Amino acid sequence: MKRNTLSNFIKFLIIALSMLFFVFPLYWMASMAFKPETDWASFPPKLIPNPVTLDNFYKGLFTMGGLQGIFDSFIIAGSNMILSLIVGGLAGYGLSRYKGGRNIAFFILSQRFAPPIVFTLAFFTMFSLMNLLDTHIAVIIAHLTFNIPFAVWLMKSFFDGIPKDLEESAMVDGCSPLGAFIRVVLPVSLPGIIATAVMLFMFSWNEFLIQLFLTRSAVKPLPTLIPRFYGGHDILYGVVCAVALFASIPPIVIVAIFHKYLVRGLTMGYVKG
Amino acid sequence: MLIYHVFSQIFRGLDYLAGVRVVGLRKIFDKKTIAVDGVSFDVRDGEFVILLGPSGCGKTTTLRCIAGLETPDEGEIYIGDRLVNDLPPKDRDIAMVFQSYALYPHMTVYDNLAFPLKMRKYPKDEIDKRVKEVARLLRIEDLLDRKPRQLSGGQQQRVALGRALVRNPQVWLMDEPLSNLDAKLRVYMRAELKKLQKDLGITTIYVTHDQAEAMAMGDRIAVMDKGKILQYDEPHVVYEKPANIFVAGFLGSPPMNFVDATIVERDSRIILDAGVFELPLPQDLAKLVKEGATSDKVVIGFRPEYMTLSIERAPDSVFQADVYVVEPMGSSYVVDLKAGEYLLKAITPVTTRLPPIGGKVWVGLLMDKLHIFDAKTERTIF
Repeated sequence: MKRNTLSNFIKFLIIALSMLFFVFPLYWMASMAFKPETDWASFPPKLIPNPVTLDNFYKGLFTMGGLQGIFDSFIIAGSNMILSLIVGGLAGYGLSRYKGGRNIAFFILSQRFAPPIVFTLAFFTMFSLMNLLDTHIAVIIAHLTFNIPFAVWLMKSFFDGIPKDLEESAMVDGCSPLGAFIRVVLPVSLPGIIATAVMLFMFSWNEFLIQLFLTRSAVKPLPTLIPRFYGGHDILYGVVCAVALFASIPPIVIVAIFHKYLVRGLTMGYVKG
Repeated sequence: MLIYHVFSQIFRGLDYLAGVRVVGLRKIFDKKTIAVDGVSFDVRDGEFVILLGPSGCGKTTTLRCIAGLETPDEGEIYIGDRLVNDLPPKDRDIAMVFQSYALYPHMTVYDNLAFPLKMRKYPKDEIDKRVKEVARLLRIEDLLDRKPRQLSGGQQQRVALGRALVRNPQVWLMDEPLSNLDAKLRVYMRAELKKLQKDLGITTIYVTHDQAEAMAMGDRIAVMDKGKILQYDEPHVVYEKPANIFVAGFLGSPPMNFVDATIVERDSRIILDAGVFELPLPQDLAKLVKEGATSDKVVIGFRPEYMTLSIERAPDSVFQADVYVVEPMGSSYVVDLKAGEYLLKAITPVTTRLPPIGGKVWVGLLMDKLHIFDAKTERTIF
């Protein structure tokens, strides 16, 4: 009994320390966002903002384009998530269920062998020829290059874990092959679909390099907007933190809501039942 | 051909109301693996037919072809009087029970049972009525709100049966539905299933590799090996009069004993010389064997239960063997005997006096329960 309490205490301590390690930077960012411009370097450091101000948010969101950045990022990440899910879901299902998919599946995976920078210059040239630079479409297409193979592979492995009997049973029970996919396979693989969706969204939301190359002034996704607050003379730490806070909210909220599915989805197929 | 066609039309009208007829079915996988090799059989309306065979014999593929889950390369499949080759599974008016049960994990038991009806757009109150009826029949009424993963194996099994039953299909197809249950439940469900099938009179094709299950449940058994049907008959016929060595060895537990022998003619009598013993044949049998054998090599087969064991020589004793192992089975012993190079199994009542392990025992054979096979063609001679 005593030993149990001790081991529980040690567990608690380890978790608390690691929480501190991971959460403190977030807290520091949040508190910085509420501090006046001059307080960022005060010594001793102020853990709790005093006085509290919303100036940074106002500046960041309304005068320096933060709101548009959030909007742009949502458009890019959201449409990426949906398009990749549709293509990846159907392709993954086909590769999982029909013969001859092996080489194609490997070809699709090979799209991710090279680091993104390899494609980035090519994208820049291509999109500038097509007059698509600095548009949402350019970034969306570029991101799809990475997200679709990822979605295809992840979805394929989820579908592989679903016994074929289920669809065959549905077909005997009165479904067409597409009906069996929609009525049985999709609902059963929902945790996997949600997990994939979260990962797709996060990749696109956080991606920096491609967005930096392909956007300038008309489209300003958050990852490329925030570095603009690093001026030549001055770094607007308060504004950076205020906008960064907004940039980190969607991923945190999404994971908080779907974390049950995320764990279940990513372990699907490995654990039975 | 024409006569056959006319006859089959008449016959179908009378006998194949909702029967199944498979003609010359062939299925080849990847252009080289012949899974089903010219299988033909018919199932009468309301009949319970078993496809029995070892794994890889093509029994499941045959069933899947009937279900429409595989496309045959050759042959015709009729359900009732409809040629169903080109119909998708949903239009064949069949229901199938899978080995894994294939219950939809995201639906409750109720929704699982209602699914085939919903797909066919039955009115809501009709669905409700039928689901409750089937649930009552299978005694799963209090499980209707549960998800499949909250059920035991036996309960899942019953839900799977119920889902196949709810629509009142023309044909039931079952692919080893009992093999995931524990031994006790399996024997219990065997009887339940047979009773249910007889009560409802649904034409049923049932795939299994378990010969005991086949013997217990089937009206007729089709024994399959290497994509072919070797024998198709009632259980007792398949057991007592097997068509060849494979069928003889596949049915029965412990299986039939086989001993190689040579036909020898001595003093104008026909004798089977098996090395460990000699078997003089009666006149009528001798004639059969001589005419039926393609060479002088034959195989003698005898079932463990038709052997008698005694310490002293008895009138029916044929040869002597060493007691190798004795397996007490409760009501009987299974005695392993060593005779020459052969290890034979005999079943004997527990009241039999047996020598200690390694001791000698006389073995008697029931002559009219003996089987003689041609060694080359493996066909039954007698």
